[in-house]
Amino acid sequence: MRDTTAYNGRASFMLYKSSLRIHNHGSNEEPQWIDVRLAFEDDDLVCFHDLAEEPFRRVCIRKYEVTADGKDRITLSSADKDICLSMSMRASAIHVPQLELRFDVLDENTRDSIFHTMQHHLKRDAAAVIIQRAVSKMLCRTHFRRFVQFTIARAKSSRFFDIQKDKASAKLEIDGAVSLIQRAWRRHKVLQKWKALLSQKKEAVAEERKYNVELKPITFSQLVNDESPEMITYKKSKGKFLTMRKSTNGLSPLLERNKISVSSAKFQKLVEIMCRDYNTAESGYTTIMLNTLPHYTNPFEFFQMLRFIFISTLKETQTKVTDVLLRWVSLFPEDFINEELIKRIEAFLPYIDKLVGNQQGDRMRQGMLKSTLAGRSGARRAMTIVATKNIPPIIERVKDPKSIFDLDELEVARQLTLASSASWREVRLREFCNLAWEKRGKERKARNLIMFIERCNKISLWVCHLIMEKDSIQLSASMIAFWINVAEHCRSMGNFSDLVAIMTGLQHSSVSRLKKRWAAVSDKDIKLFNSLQEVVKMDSNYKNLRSITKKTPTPIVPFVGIWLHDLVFLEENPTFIQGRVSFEKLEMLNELFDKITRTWTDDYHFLFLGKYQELLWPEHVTEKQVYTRSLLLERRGA
Amino acid sequence: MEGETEERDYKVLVVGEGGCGKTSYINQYVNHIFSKAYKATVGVDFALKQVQWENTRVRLALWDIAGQERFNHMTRVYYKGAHGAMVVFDVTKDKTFQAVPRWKKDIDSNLDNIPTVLVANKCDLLDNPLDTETMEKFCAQHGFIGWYETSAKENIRVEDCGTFLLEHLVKRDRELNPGKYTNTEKTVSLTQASDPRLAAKTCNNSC
Repeated sequence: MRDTTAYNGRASFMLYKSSLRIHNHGSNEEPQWIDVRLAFEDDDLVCFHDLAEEPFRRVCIRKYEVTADGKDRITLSSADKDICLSMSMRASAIHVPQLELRFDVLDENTRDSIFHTMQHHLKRDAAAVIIQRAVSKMLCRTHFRRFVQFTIARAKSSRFFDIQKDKASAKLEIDGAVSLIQRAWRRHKVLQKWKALLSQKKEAVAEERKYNVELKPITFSQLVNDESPEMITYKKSKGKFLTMRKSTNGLSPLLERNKISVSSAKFQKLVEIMCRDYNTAESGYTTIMLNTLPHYTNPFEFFQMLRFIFISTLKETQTKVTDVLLRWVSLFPEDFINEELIKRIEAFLPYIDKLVGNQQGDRMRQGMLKSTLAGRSGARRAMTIVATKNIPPIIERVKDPKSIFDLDELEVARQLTLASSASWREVRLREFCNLAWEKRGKERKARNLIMFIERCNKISLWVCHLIMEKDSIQLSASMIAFWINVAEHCRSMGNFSDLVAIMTGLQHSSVSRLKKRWAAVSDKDIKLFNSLQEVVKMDSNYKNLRSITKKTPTPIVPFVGIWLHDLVFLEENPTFIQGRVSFEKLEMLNELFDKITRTWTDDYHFLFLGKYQELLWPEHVTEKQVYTRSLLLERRGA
Repeated sequence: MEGETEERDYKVLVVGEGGCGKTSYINQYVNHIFSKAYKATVGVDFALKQVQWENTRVRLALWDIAGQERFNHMTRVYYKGAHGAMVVFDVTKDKTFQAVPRWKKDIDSNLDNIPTVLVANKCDLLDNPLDTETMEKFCAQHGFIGWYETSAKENIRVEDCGTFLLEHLVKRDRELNPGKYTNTEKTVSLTQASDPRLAAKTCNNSC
C-alpha cells in the first residue's frame, strides 16, 4: 500500500484560478503558503459548481518559481502530503493556468509507484464524492439511475444476485450504495470509452464513404493535372487570399493563371493545392484549410490524403506535407484524440524520418507526443504570468474586504476580466465548427464555449441578485451605480463579454422595474448607463458592438454572441457544391475564425488576487429567486 | 405622388431552439432564397421585409437570435418593444417542440400579449401532416394566434404565415393607437425609452 514516509510523487494538478490564493508576506517576497482548492482531473464528472464548494486548504510552499515556459511551479513541503493526498481531488476543466505542484523529492525511485497509488486512491475518492453530491442534489438523476440499472444488470449475471439487488434497491438514495455505484461507474466509464471509440470509427467510415464515393481511385498525376470543372472551379480573386504564381517544381501547368483563386474543388484537389510549394505559411491557404477542417472532412481523411501526397511526390512537396502535419498537430491537438488516428500517424513517422531527414521527424514526434498528452486533458493554452513592468498595482479600498461593496470598481473590473479572459482562452477554435455548440453532443464538443456562455448568464443574474440583496433603496441604488461603473471599466479594457453580461443584468426586467431605486441613481451614472446601453444594443445586428470590438486592440474578451450569430448565417451557405468543397465558404468562415483567434494572442497583465476573486465568484442564482425578490422590494403597481 | 401612404415599422421576434431553421426561414421570407448558391453576408441588418398592406407601407424588422439561444437572459432583454413574434420549432425534433411553451412564456413575461404565431418548420421532411386538433388545442392553451406548417427549404406557406401575422399586427396596432394611425408623420417608434426610470414609468402607465 501507500508508503507513508516518502511522498515524493510529482503530479501536475489543474487548479482553478480562483481556487488558488497565493499569499505574499510583503510585496517583494516569494509566496510562503497557498490556499488551494484541489480537485482531481476527470473529464466527465467535473463541473464548475463542485469545485467552488471545495474548501480552501492551506499548504506550505517550499519553493515558488516561474518556469521558462511561463508556468508556475510550486514545490510543496512534504509536511503537507496528507492534506493533498487525503482530500478528494478533482480537476477543474476550466480557467486553469497549468500549475505544477510537487512534493519534496526525497527518493527518486519510488516516485512512479507512489504517483500511481495516489491516482488510484484519488480517483475512487473523487467518484464517491461526486456521485454522492449528484444524488443529494438530484442533479443527474438519470445518470444515477443508469448506474444503478447497470449495477443490477451486472449483478444478475453473478450468483450474488439477490444480495446485490437488495442492496441496490434498498440503498438507492443513500450513501451506502456508493461503493456499489463506484464499481458500476467505473464499468460505465470503460463502456463509454468503448462506445466513443466505436462511434468515432463508425463516423470515420461514414465520412469516408461520403467523400470517396464520388471520386474514383486516382493517381497523383491525374489529381494534379485534372482541371475539369468537376474537379475544380476558379474565381477572380481580390488578391486577398491565394494568388496563383508560377511554380518552380513544374508540377502543375495551370499555375500561370494570375490573380485567380479557387472557388470550389474536390477535397483531394484542395489538399493537393495546399501542398504545392508556392503556398507558403504566409499565403493563408494552409491556415484556411486547417482552421476549417471539420467543415469539409475529418482528421482521418485529411491525414490519409496528406499521406497519399507525401508518398507520391518529390522532396519539396514532402517537406511541405511535413510542415502542414506539424502545424496541424501543434495547433489542433484536439483533432488527435482518436487512438486509431494516432496509431496511423505514428506508423507514418518513419517515412518522414527516412525521406525528409531525421531532424524534422524528431520535431514531429515531439509535437505529436506533446499534443497527444495535452489533447487528453483538453489542451490548454498556456497562461503566462509574466512579470512585466506595466502591471498596475492592486487598488485596495479596505484592508480586509468582506463583500463586493468594499472593493474598488476598477479593481472589480480587472479581476472579473482576468477570470473571464481565462475562461475565454480555454475555448478552442474547433468548438465553433459546424455549429457544435447547438448540435447534439454539444457538452462534449463545445464544452469550453458553453462554459464561457454560462459564465455570462451567471454573471447577469448575479448582478441582479446583488443589486437587490439589501432592502434599503439607497444601497440598491449605489449598487446599480457600482455596476454601471464596473461595466464602463470593462468596456474600456475591452472586456465586452462582461460588459454585455452586466448590462444584461441591469436591464433585466426584475431590476429595471425597480423605479424607486433607479430614481435614486445619480444623473451622471444614468447618463453613463445610457451610453453603455447604446454600445450593447442589438440594433442593426450589434452594429455598435461590432465596430468597437473591431477597433479595440488586444487583449480583449469578446462578446461571443455576435460571432455565433454570424456562424449560423455562414452555415446557411452550402459546404458542398456538386461534390466539390466550396472554398469560398471556407474563406468566409476563416475570416471569422481569424477574428476569434486574434483575441487569443494577448492576455491581460493585471495582478491576480485570490481574495478578491473569491468575492467575485458569481453565485448561483435562479431567475425565479430574482423575480420573487424584485416583487418583494417594490410591489407590483405600487 | 401616390396619395397618402402611411409607414409603419414593426419589430418581430423570431425565436425557438437552435437548429430548427430560424435563419433559413427568415431568409426565405425576406429574400426568397434557400441556401444552394446563395452567399450569406454577415454584419448587415439583413432581415427587413417591406410589404404593402392596404394603404400602408409596412416594414417588418425580423429579429433573429440564431446562435445565441444559450444566452438566455440576454435575449430576454431584447424582447422589449417587439410588436409580434414567431416561435419556430422543428417538426422532426420533438425536443424543439417541447421547448415552445418555454419560449412563449419568456415572450409573455416580457411583453404584453403580443400576437405570436407558431411555426412548425421543416414540414417537407414529414410524411404525415401534424394533427390539426392537437395543434389547435395547443395554440389555444398557450395563447398563440395560430400555427403554420411551413418549409423554408421548399417555400411552403412561408409567405402565408408572415401575412397572417402581419394582419394581426396591423389590427392590434389600430386598436391600440386609433388616433395615431391616421397621422402620416409619426411612425410607431421602435426605439424605447433608454432611461430605465422613464421605461418603468411608461410601463406603469400602460399597465
